[in-house]
Amino acid sequence: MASSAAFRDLQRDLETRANELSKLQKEIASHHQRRKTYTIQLGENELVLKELDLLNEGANVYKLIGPVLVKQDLAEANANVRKRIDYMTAELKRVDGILQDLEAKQNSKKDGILKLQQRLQSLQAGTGKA
Amino acid sequence: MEANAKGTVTSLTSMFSVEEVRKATERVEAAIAEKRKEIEHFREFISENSNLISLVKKLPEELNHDIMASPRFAANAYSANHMGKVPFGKAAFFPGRLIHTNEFMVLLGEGYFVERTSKQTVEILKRRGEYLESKVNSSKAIIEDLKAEASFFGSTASELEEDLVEIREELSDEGSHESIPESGLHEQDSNPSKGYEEAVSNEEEEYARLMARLDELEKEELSAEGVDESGDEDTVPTNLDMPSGRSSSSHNLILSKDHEQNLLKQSKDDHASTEEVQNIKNNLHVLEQLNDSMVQLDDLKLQSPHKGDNKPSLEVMNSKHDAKTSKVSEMVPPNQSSRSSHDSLKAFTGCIIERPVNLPMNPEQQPGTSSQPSKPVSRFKMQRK
Repeated sequence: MASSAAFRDLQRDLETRANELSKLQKEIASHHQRRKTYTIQLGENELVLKELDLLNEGANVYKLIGPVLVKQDLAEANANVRKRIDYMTAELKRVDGILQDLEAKQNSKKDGILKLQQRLQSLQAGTGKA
Repeated sequence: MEANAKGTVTSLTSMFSVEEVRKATERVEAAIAEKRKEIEHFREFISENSNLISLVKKLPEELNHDIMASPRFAANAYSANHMGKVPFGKAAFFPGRLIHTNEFMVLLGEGYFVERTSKQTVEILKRRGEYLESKVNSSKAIIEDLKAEASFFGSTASELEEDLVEIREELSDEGSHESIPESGLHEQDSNPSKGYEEAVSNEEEEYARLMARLDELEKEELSAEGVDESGDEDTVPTNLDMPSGRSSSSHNLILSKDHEQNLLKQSKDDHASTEEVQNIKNNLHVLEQLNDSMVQLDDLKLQSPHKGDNKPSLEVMNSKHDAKTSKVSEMVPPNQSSRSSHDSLKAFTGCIIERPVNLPMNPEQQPGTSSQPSKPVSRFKMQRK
């Protein structure tokens, strides 16, 4: 029964591929999550920067670190926020690249699985007739 | 449509299943609902923000405030003597009062706080309110988009129920007049008139391109003719010239005859003007006549010793350009009349006489290509397909 062996092989192959695909999808989902949080933080930071820019120089700025408010220089706070925004935009770009990569991979995986399924089906039809 | 019409008819149901359309509609509806919720959320923030603004404005009006119990605590038994209670952890409250009523520690976000006066705080809060408003507006715009999408899906679904078909036809040179209005009538898309307008502009574009192409061909022809004239005169003796010219022209005639038949069929199918059809018929008839005589001539000349030698040059000439065949055939008659004075003579005089007759038949398609009326169009058509 060569055909049934081939059939089983195909099925096993399909299973492993499906597993890989679901893993990929999970990864994509987690990256999407990260991307979302980054975008939200970026928006918040931009708001902060806008407000900091509007402050006059004598203003007291504090940063909440843990349970305490630590006094900070306005210029320092400004620089920090800017740095954070830069970091976040870079990170967003990186995550976008990763996402694109993963999605391309996912699509190719899907295609492969589709082809496998078709082969399986044709095999099934062949054995069904025989 | 007839067999030669280039077009496909597919029923919409085979392209999108009803199920899928329904799913898509559901998804869009869900997205709309989500966005609506988001807007609700923003609205809440906005009202909270405006409450806060009014509070911040009011606070500096007094030097100090008793810590007023929030509504949650007001219902509580603690606030018996209307004295405010400051929460101390989860378990305890103690009485207190607000002093420094014009000093605010404003959270800017990301853990940054700034000391502000009431007025400045109000400004910050107002900016936040504007930001929220812009968010609401963008969400509204997105909802509008989604609604348009949903209505599109809805119309697709209804079209599916009505068993509409999609008709696709390629634009062909002759067929464009008829095929587009037809497909418009079938209402394959929601507004057929727009499609028709597009088709018309397409057609005009097509025509312009066609004319440009013809001009190009003409130029090529002219230059080729010039080259051939000189080439013929000094390389090919008149003796050889005759048979080669004859064979190549008959070859071309067969070709063009095929094209004419094509053209005839197409224009018939497309209900082209009867005049045009008549023209083509005339053309065809003449060509047929010509061709017959050519075949006879061929038989006559079969024993000619030059025949074999001519073959290569014939090939070259054919590949070079067809324009010269017209020239060559013009050269043929004198030779012809001197050599064989029977049927072929008639054919060739017929050729020369008929060609000018052909000339005005479709002048709009080929301005200037006087020697070979049917030829450029056929070639053009061949290239276009």
